[in-house]
Amino acid sequence: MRIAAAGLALAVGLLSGCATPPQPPVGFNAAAVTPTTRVGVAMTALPKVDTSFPGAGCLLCLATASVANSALTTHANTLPHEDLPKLKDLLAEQLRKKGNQVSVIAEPLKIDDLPKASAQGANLAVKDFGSLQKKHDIDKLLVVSIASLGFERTYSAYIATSDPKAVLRGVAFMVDLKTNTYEWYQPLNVLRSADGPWDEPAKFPGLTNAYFQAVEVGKDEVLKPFKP
Amino acid sequence: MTAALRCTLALAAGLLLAGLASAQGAVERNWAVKTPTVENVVFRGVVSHDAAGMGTGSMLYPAPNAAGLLAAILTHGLLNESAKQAQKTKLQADADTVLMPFATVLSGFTNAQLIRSALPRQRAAGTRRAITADEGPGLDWVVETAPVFSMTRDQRALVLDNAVRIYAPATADAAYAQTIRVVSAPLATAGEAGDGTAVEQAWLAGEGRRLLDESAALFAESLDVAMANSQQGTGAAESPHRTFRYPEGGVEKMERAQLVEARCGRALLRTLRGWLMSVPVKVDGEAACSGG
Repeated sequence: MRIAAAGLALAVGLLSGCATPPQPPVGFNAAAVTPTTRVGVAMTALPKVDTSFPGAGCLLCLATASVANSALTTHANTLPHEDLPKLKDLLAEQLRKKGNQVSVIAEPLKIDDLPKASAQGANLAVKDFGSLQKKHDIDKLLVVSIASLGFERTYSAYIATSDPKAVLRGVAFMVDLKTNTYEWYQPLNVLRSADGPWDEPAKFPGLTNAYFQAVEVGKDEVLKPFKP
Repeated sequence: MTAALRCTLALAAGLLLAGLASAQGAVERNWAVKTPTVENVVFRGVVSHDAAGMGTGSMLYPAPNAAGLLAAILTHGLLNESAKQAQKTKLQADADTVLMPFATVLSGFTNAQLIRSALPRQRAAGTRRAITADEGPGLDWVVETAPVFSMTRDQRALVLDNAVRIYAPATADAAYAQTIRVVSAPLATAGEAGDGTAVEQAWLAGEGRRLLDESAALFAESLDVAMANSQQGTGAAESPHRTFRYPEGGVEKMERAQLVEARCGRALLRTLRGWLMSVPVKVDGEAACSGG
């Protein structure tokens, strides 16, 4: 009995201990960026426009979902990023209008390559961005990181539980490089359905329209706090 | 004298030819707009399926053998499809509740009344008349329509989807078929906070006159677009695709499209589906409005 209880406690401890709680949104504090603040603006590399099938858990389920949606995947791969690559320039433009000193970091930011931060806590970044302070001569770093772009269709094993939807997922944040603290953290979870039928191969006009809507809405969410 | 006479005759002939050419270019069609067989105008609520779907729940199939597994998957599929359909029906039913305050007005609003009110509002040249579903059009061009109106969730705008078919005189095959969407300008009555009662009252004033008039205006716009487009084409072939923004009630909507025409606070777009869409929008370089 005692062994079973200890086993259960260990299992609960392991399961809960392994899960990193997601960073909650942090509202943008305009006072944190004064005209003397040097802000760097960076983006991670944009993902390929593609399809994803959350819920198609087993390998065979995923293979079934991939085959069933192959025409959509082929089409998704032809879609452009539109002006998402210019998002950091648009952010810089908004900041400059407010009188901030801004430098746009040309190369894609590789967050995974950064060391893990030594201090953990509320609103503290998991990665240590401090090394970028000297490298780019900046006080704060504004980052747009788009993780998923294209179309998403949920599955329950082999069965599609939703129509495909256009998706843009990621996060935009500003981190103070002295304290490694988030001063703005905005998760991006944009989903747009097709207006009317979605299954219109080979060009999927309804879903394609939804894709460009998702891109625009994602851009708006990133730019909103910085607009006058 | 002879030379002067020759010159005058040549000038007159030139003017006559120019006049003929001009008259030919502006040939006006006579239109007969057929009343749909459905008696009442169809209204519904604008619905969003952005949040639709049944989630990603895991599934353990009881599978004693391959046939059992297949049967379990098929059953799961059927149940899931049924649940998805039920969800879509519920979303539409919920969206339709936006029309409840207008039920009395809309219950007596017929397609015949809609067409009668719309025809005088059209900008299109040429004579236009309404005919019943079983009436012969004579030598007129026949316009068949299937209008469906939607009201936005905040009740501030109407959206018309009109499937239009145009038949040349005495022909059985449609010479032109197009779906045309027209979005009304948002009703300005509500403030940013959206005073629902004020919006309702604005539509319902004068026994629903504004609601009926706006519907007729949208229908007239869709007929104008169809009639003009059936004769001239859109000229949008070279126009690049871009994402246009426009208000649909209090919500900003977006559409990936080609600009066909911009005039008087409206843009006519060709969507990725090839539909034509008239939306209230301010477009750079828009021509000044002469009125209305």
